Amino acid sequence: MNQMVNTVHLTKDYKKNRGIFDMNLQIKQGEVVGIVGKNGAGKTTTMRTLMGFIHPTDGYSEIRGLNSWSQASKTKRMIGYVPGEIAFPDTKSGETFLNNQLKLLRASKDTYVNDLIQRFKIDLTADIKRMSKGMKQKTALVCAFMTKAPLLLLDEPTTGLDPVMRDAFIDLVLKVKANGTTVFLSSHMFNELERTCDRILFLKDGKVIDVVDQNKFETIHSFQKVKIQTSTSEGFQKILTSFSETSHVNSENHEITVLISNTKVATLLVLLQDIEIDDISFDTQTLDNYFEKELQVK
Amino acid sequence: MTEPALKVEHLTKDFGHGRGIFDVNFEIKPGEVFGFLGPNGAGKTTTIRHIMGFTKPGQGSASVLGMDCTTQYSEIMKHVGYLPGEIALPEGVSGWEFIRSMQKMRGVKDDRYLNSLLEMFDLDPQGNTKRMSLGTKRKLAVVTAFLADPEILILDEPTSGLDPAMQDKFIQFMVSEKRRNKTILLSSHIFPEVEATCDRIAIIKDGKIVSQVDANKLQHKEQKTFELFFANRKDLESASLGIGGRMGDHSLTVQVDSQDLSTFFNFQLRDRNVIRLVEHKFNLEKYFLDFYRTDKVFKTL
Amino acid sequence: MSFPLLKQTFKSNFAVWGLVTLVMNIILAQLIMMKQTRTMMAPMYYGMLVSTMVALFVVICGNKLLAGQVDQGSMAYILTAPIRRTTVAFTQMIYMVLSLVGTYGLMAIVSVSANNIADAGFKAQTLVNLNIGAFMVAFAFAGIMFAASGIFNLSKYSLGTGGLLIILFILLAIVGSFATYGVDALKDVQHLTIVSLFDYQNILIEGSKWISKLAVLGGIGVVTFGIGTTVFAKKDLPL
Repeated sequence: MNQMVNTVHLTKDYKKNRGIFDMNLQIKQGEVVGIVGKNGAGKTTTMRTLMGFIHPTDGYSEIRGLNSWSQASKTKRMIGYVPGEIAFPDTKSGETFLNNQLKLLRASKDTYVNDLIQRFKIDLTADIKRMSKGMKQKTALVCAFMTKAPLLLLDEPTTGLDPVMRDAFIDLVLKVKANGTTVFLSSHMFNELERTCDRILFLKDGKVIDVVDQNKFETIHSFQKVKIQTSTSEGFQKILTSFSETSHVNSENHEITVLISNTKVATLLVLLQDIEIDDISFDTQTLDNYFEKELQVK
Repeated sequence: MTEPALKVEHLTKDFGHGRGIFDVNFEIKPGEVFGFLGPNGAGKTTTIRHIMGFTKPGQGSASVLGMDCTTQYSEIMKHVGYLPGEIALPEGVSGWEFIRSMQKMRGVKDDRYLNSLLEMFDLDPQGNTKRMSLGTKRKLAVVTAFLADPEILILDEPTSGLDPAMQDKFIQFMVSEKRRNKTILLSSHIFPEVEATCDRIAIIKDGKIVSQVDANKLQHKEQKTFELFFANRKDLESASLGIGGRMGDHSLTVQVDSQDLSTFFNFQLRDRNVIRLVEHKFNLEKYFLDFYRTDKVFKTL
Repeated sequence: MSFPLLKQTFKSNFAVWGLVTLVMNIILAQLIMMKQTRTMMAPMYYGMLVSTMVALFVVICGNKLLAGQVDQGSMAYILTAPIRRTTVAFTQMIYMVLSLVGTYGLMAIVSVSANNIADAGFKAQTLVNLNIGAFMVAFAFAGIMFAASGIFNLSKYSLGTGGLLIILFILLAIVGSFATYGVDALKDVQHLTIVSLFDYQNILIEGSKWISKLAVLGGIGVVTFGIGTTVFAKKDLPL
C-alpha cells in the first residue's frame, strides 16, 4: 500500500451548488495528478480540505492513512503547499522570509534550496511589498519545494509566471516526480498540466465529471479542427455533407469548422482538390478545445 | 504628428542591487494598444507605478496626454482607468457601496456605462467584499476601474488567475475598447490576449527595454506554413520536386501565400498522397521566448 | 477636501468611533451622577481614563487612515480617482479631527447635563474647559499617529512608532499621577509626557496657566498633522 491521498465521499457544501461533492480520489505515491476547473469549481476547496484548513461536511480525506482534519498537525508535515491566494507575512525581503520558513521547517540551507532559487531566479534582496504577483508566486513555489515533502499540494502554481518560469516549473515537477514525490496541482487550463500529469481530473460545480489519462490525451490530440471558408456555396455544401462532426457552421459566409482525426486528413485533402477555398486553417485539438463547452458555457 | 497619449522618457529608478528600471523610453499613440512584455521582476510593474504617479522617477519622466505623471497625476486620473494585477479591495464594504463611492470620487453621474459593464462581466455586486470569491472580486475590480469610461486603460496582468471564460470575456472587452479608439497599455504574460489586441509590443528585461516590434508585421498573416507527411520516401521526394519547400526526414514544410490557398489545395496537392497535414502557426510566445531567458546568477541563502 | 472620501472614511470607522465615544460618555456620566465618585471624577477620569480610552480610537483609526490602506493595497483605488494625495491626507485629517470634536463635544454636553440632573455642583464652564483640555490631548495624539501613518507604508511600523509613543505617554502619565497621591519623587515623570500639558487641576481651581499649556498641545498636533500630510504627498507608494 503506497497510497498518498485518499478521499472518501469528500463533501464540503457551501450551499447554492458551491463547494465539493462526493469526491473519491486516490493518488498513489509518485503520481502527479492535476485538477482543472473554472473559478469557483471547487479546486481551492479541495486543496484546503486536504490541508486540514476546512472541515468537510461529509466524508473524509486521508494523507498516508492519517485523517487530514483530526490529525492535521501530523499530515501537514508531509505536505508542501502553495496557496491559491498568496499573502506573505510582513518580512522585509525574500531572504528573511525564506530563512524564517527554513527555521520553521527545521530544515537546513543546502544546495537544494539554492538550486531552487537559481531555477526560479529569485532576487532575495527584493522588498516583498514591492514584488509583483509573479515574483511572489515564484517565492511561494520555492517555499513549497524546499520542504522536500513527499506530497506537494499546489493551488494554481503557474499563475502570473512568465513562459520561461512556467517551463522551469514543469521541469522541476518532473524532477521531483522522478524522485518519488507525489504532486497534486490545479489550474484553469489543461495545457499547463498536460506535460506533467499522469491524469487530470476535470472538476465542474464541485464534482469530478471527467478523468483524462495519457491514453485519452493522445486520442484527443489525434484530432484536428479544420476551419474552411469556401468561395462558393457548392463547395460549402460538399464539405457539410461529407463530414458529420462540425462546429461553427455559417452558411452565409460559407464558413465551416470540421473535427477530423489525423487519419482522415487525407480524405479531406482529396475532397479539397475540387473546392475553391478562400481561407483554411488547421489546429490540433487540445484538451482545452476538447473541454471547451464545459469550460466556457455555464 | 499627433501628441502621444502616453510617453515615457529616460525613466530611471534605481533600487540598488541592479534592481529597478533604467532609461526606459516608449510612446503610445492615441488609439494604440501597446503590449508590455517581459520576465517576472523585469520592471513592468515599476514602470506602471511611475505612470500612475505612485512612485517618483529617479531620472527621466512619464507623461500622459502631455501632463507629467509626478505632478499632475490627479488631473491624469480623469482620463485613466487602472487595473492592477492584484486586487486589494477595501474591507467591510459591500460591492455596491464600493462602486457608488468610486463613482462619486470620479464624478460619474450616470449609470449607463456602469450597467453595460455589469452586464458584460455578468457581475452582481451584492454582499460584502470579504465574502466574495476571487473571480467576483476580479470582476468588481474591473468594473470599478472602468466605470468612468476612461480614454486610456492601464492594465497590469489583468487576466492572470482568471479562468478561460473570464479571460475570453476580458479579451472581448479589450477588443471592443480598442474599436472605440481607446489607448491601452497591457502588461501581460498571456500571449493569446497580446496577440488578439496589441498593435505594438515592447519587451523589458532587467529594467531595460530590449526590443520594440510592430505586432501586425510579426504575425505573417499573409502567409501560412504547412508540414506535409507522406506514406513513403518516394512520395515525399516527388512532392518536394513538384511543390518545393524544405524537406525533412519524414515531412515537407511549405509556405503558402494566403491568396494562393486554392491553387495549393486544388492543384499542388493533387495526387500527392499526403497522409497527414499540420499547420504551423506563428507563435508569439515562441518568438519572444529568448527574451525571457537570463544567465543572471542570483544571490543564495 | 473630498466629500465622497470623507463619507467612505466615516463609514468604515464608525463602529470603533461609536463604541469608544459611547463608553467614554457612559463612564463620565456615571462618575458625575454618583455622589461617592464625584470628587474622583477629575483626577481619575480626566487625569487618566479619558486619554487611555481615546488613544484606542486614535491609534486604530489613525493607522487605518493612511498606512493601513497603503499596506493593504486599497489606497490604490482612492488614488486612481482624480484626487491629489494632499487632498487624500487632508480629508483623512479632517475626519480624524471632526470625529474627536464629536466625541468631546458630546462629552461636554453629557457632562453638563449630568451635572444639572444630579445637581453635582460643578460649574458648567469648568466642565466645558475640562473637555476642551482633554480634546487637546487627543488632538496631539491624533497628530502623532497621523504623522506615523503618513510616513510609513506598513501598519506594523506605523503602529510600532506612533502607537507605541502614545502608549508610552499614557504610561508615564499614569506613573506620574502617583505624585498627586504623595509620591513626590515621581513629580519629574510628569515632565516626560505630553499628557500632563492638560492641567486639569488648574482648570478646576479656575486658574489661567492651563491655557498656554494647551496651546503647546495644539502646536504639537498642528505640526504632526502637517508632517503626516507632507510626507504622504511626497513619498513613493508601494501600490
